[in-house]
Amino acid sequence: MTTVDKTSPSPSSKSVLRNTHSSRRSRALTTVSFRLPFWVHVLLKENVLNVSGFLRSVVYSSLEELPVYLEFEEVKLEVEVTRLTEELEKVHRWQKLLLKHGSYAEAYLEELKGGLVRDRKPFYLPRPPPSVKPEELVTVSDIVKYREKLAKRLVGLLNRLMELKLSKPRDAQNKKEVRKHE
Amino acid sequence: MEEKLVHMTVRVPKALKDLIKQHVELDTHINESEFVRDALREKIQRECPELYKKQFEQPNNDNSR
Repeated sequence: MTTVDKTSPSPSSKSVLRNTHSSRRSRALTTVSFRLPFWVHVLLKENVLNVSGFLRSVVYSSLEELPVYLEFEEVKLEVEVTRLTEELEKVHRWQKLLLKHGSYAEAYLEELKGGLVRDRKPFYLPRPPPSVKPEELVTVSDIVKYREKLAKRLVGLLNRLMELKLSKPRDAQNKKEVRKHE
Repeated sequence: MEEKLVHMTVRVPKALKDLIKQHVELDTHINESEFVRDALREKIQRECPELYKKQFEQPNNDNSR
């Protein structure tokens, strides 16, 4: 059974946030700014749990409808790889939080069920160090299995993407050679 | 009456932003911002047609702008 050290920093402290989000920060993401009518903003805030993720999914769906998406396998793979990477990072974050906070991870288990997440760890109370419950360990093991499946699929897609990217200059070179012969 | 607007951002991988840029250059969208807005409009139209009708299709509706 895993126990959490009493001296470990609170989840709200900067060091914890840095550790749990480091993989996300390292990804090359850029921002697209836009303006929305106020009523749409309110609608999103009231009905969507993760507005940022929702907006990203809307953009991906829109990209999937572009003719270029169907024409070029590379574009299709880029979108698929991004989606899988995000999913992988999300479940990895859940796993880390679950193990880090032990029995206080109920809030994060709620997120698994689609509920709201509120970290209510009462640090000021003199309680024994939290430990991971057996059912939480089952969830962690399920997450690990899911991650393994996602990673396997991601590796396949990345290999194909690399193949396509590497074949690009070769195609260009072949075309040049053909032109020379002509 | 001028409609109240809210500034927002969406974070996407660079490769996909480049793809949006390329598409905007070829397509009728004015800029990337319009592309995202259009995507959201379509999503609302597809998933909440009643709401879309109410907000965008009613005559003399300020939100339709």
